Amino acid sequence: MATGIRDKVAIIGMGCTRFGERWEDGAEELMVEAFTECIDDAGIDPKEIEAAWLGTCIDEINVGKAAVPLSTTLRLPFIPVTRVENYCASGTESFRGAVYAVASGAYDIALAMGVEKLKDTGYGGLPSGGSSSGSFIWLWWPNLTAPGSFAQLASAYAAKYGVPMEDLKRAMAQVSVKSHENGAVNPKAHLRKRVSIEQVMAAPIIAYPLGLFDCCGVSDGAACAIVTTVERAKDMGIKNPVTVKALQLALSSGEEMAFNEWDGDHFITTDKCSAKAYEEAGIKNPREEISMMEVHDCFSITELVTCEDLHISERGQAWKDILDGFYNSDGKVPCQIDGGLKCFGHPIGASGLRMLYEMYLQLLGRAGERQLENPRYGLTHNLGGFPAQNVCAISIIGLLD
Amino acid sequence: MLRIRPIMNSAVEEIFAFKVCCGPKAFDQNLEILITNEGDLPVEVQSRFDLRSGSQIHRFDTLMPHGLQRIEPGRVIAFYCNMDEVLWEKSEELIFYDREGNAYPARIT
Repeated sequence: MATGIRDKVAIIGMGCTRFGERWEDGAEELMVEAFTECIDDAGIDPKEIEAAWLGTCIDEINVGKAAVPLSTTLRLPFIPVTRVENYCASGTESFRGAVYAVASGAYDIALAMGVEKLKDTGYGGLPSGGSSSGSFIWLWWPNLTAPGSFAQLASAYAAKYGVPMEDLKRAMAQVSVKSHENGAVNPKAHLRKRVSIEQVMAAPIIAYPLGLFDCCGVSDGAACAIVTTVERAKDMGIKNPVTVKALQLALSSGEEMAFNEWDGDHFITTDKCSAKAYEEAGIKNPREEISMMEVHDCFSITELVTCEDLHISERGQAWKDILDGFYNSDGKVPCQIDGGLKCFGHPIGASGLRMLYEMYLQLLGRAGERQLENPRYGLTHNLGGFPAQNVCAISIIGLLD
Repeated sequence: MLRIRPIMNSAVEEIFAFKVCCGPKAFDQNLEILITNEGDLPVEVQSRFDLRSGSQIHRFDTLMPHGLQRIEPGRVIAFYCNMDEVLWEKSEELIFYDREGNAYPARIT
């Protein structure tokens, strides 16, 4: 009988680069930067790492198809290294691999690395899907753009719940204002400028109703984690380590596109994935028990509906919670306390681990100006793909109970 | 009635440049101008303004977005452009125009 992952694996070290247009650095330098912080934090010798996972998505313009760039860059001593890719959940996928490897008993210490170097393309958005996106890519997503697809989510949400578009626009603007407020005090964020609701709402429309500040950018960055068993962490002198409470992944099965039950107003994957994650973590009332979260705010509307799919806000009520400040840094459940994708940009393979990095710092009381008071559970959420077909990854971490 | 609020060296410059770096190529948009329609009727504003410094007038017609912009009552739109800081410092007023040529001046403070 499966018992889940709760409290079986501890995070003993994490590292994260400054995200941004890192012209002077390649993916290798970014990995070294994140790893140096991580290994110092863990206080172990790199030779103690027994296996590693590398999450990176756009391999054609990045580190290539194998995991060799990680093993050679970090001089990992002929250990198994696996490259994983699962759209925007690639970083969390890397973390999942390392965590399950330790939980299985196969290894005592494993590394999860995520990296992406996207700015060298000289292109503002994500590169278009190539051969690695699957042979049916053009049939599934004909003429699709990311802003256009997620804009439909906003229209569907407004229609279903009878929310005036002006009110929804204001709530989406508050999503961005709040994240920029948080990112302004994060030295590792790419964009560190505050913006006002007025500025966000007046900005050019990208795909109605999404404006410029409703969309995140792409970026360069890397983040990583070293994990081990709880017993080993205690042997290292860590009395109360950060442990993994839940790791869940849900992928679209085609229901969104093929059935009539989906209104296009939310993410079925996130709804189902979060329910499983809470069960695994032993969380009964997420609105009360989740202390903070980093969600996949590729677009403001994504964050808004995700707050409902995560069962934090009631259906049709997230826009009100957002305007009420429920997700602000001084609200009940701070969301994007590090600035989120809005301020970090989205180097795909790194984003999931970047989110975990912030939750880890918060749990250990190391988040500086952003520090929250006594957080218990931190949740991270990645969403890869589009509303009609996507990959959702959710992690929950907290101090060992 | 239009309320015009210029924001020189706006925080959005860096964000704007990054997010649209390779599409509209909107670099160095250091002047953001927010225009609010405080009247009861829609106003169509031209995408240009005059900058007055004493008796000198400098016309700026390289604003983003281009063309006539319709502002509904109560709504705000933004224009962006590149502005010379020295010229801006010595200027006293900027003037927008609607479709009919009516002028909407705003003091630069």
